Amino acid sequence: MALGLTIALLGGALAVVLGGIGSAIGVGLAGQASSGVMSEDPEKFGSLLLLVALPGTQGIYGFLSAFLVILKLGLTGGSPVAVNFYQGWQILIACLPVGLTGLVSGIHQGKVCASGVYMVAKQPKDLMKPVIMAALVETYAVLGLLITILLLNGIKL
Amino acid sequence: MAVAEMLKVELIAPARLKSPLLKKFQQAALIQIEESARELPHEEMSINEIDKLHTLEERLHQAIVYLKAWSGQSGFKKLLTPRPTLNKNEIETLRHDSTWLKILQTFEALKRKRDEISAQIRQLEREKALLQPLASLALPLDKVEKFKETDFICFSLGTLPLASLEALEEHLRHEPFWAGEVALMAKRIVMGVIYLKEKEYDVREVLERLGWEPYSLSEFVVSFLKKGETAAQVMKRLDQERENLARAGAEIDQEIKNLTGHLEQLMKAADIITNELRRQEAFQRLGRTQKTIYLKGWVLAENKEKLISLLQPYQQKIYLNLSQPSPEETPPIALDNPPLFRPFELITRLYGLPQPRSLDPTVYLSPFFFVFVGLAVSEAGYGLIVSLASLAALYFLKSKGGLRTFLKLLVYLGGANILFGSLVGGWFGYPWRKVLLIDPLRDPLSFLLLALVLGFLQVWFGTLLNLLQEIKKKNYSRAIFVDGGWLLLLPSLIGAGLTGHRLGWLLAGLGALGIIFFSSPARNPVARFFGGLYNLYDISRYLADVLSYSRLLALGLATSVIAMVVNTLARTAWGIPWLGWLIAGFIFIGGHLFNLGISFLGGFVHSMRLQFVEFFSKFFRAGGRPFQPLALEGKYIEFE
Repeated sequence: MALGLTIALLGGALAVVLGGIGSAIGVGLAGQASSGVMSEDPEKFGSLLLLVALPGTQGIYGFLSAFLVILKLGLTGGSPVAVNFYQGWQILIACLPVGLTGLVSGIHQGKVCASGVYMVAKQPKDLMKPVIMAALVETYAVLGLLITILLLNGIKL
Repeated sequence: MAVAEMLKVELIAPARLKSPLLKKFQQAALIQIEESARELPHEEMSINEIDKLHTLEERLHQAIVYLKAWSGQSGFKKLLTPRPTLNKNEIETLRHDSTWLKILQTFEALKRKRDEISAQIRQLEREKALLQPLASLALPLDKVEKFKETDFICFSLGTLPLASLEALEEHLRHEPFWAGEVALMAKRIVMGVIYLKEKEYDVREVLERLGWEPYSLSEFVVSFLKKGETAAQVMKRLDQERENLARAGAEIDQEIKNLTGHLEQLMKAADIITNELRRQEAFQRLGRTQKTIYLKGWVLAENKEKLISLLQPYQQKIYLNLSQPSPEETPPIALDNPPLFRPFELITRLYGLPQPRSLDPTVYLSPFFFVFVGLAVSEAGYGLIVSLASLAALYFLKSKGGLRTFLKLLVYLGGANILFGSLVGGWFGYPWRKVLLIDPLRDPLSFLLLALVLGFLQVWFGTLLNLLQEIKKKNYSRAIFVDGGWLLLLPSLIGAGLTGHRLGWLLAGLGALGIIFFSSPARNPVARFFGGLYNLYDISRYLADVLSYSRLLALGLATSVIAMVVNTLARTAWGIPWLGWLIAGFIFIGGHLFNLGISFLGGFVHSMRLQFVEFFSKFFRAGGRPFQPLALEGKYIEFE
């Protein structure tokens, strides 16, 4: 019983940690690039902020998946649902899509955003174009989130 | 509702009419002037004159930037004040009115004086810092300057590194010279040295080995100091001088500040000069002979009558020809949609304008985009906030151009969320059960199905648009068999899969045959067959395209779940004694604002991607150049 719950919690933790790492690295990359640009042109803060914030979604997806796990386990109400060994593993596996896609896509989205920052430095009017490019990378985190939600929804406790 | 029709304008006029004609065109903002200048020996307008205008424009811009910084308007207030306006009739009078030029010259003179004073103040501060080490020296400075030697002894002032102090003391015991400490600096010590003249060579050698650097007064100080003044006295006087200068500087600042009242006049002048430059540059593009000018350009077909009546007064003197563009020519593109759809042009523009003689996708993407943003955010409360905020911004900011279009689009998208948020989402995380069609948290599969159905519709519709386009280009076989084949194949395949009915398989097969036999451009029938068979493999692309719309579910769910998390946290915080309500309020407002930001950004960007990647790839080719008529455009002001 307790083992099942532990494994399930590990799943939730993985979702939020892996997504968070991806986003942290991604936002970090874009943030460094934008600080460089802003040292020349401080007025660009507003438009660059958008590009820097963009790789942050993976962390949020991981966070909300973890929250769904918490809800599913009934941890908020103080009366946890009984989870057996197999159900624990099921929840952990359900968390992997959002965690792993978030980890990798967050880093790569950060790179795309960083180069987008340089583009905006030279072509301030074309802000939305790198944003769309970054969204192409994010697609896979969104799909990972989708499958995690569907899997979590399908697991019977 | 498409790409606006363009007419080619050709105009030949006597050269002396060039100025009045270009002025008229600029005021009417009707035609875009193309490059048709030929190498002609006769140049009426020298490059010099354009340079002069450029310089004047630059001077005005500099003055405006400087004065704006002094005008002391805060950012928000600046945002709310509408731009000053200028009537077209005032342009000529203002251009030849010399007041603004005088203001500009006054400003520049003041600015020069101010810069000089700033430079002087900086110099005084530098000199004072240089004198600082001698502050405690009681010897008058002019003595230091003049008193170098007598018949028997020499005196010199200089600095030594602190580290060589001990070595110096050692030397002092043996060598016949005296050294006295004047002041300490960070790493060096200022010293005066007195020695016998006959030993000069030895002493200097010792000092140099220890790292001695002679200290000499700067030319400025030498000319500044009065007889008998010590360093401290000179420094005091430097300070006084600096204060005087600062006072004078402040007076000039005040004068400059008084000039900010004329800022509007300068801005008007700057924009008038800019537009004059634009006219001169347009003139450079004209074809010219000694007596005539030739203008080639474009006008919107709907403005044909306007152009003709504009040129009415010159009828006898000019030749005007308006014609349909020939197929080799590429007219510029202007989008022309009903007002309801105009905000969505922003999305088309972002991707790129359509090529001439092709379709404008704006109207077709608008309903899809509206629904997709509605589903991807699916928060009625956020929709209400965004709509109201955008309406307020539209009302108060009185902005024009791109920002205005964007705000209008946001009003729509907010509306989409009020609608779809109520149907498949919630109000600030709380579903409104009465009108709720699908609860995405309890029944995500229905929502997923909805997203995929919408995706299928858009992809199918995109293929249909391509069919219509191919027909317009008279590629009948391609249109009917290939595009038609897909249009038939895709729905019948789904129908057959769902019902298992034989008719479905039959129709799907029929569509596939069209694709197999007509999609490959090869002439060889075998190559054609296998090429076609290979093209049938595109069905995987259609599948991937439709599945891509599942993101609507994920994004919509993300908004709902985060909204729910915010509510849960706020509820938990409510339980904290005394301050619970305050913390809960902060969490509720801050959390929902944060969620609003990221969900709208995500919803907007991903819905846009669905248009660009999944929808446009079926039929749309960008590559048009924008229609930019010669017009009066202000950087600071609006022309009426």
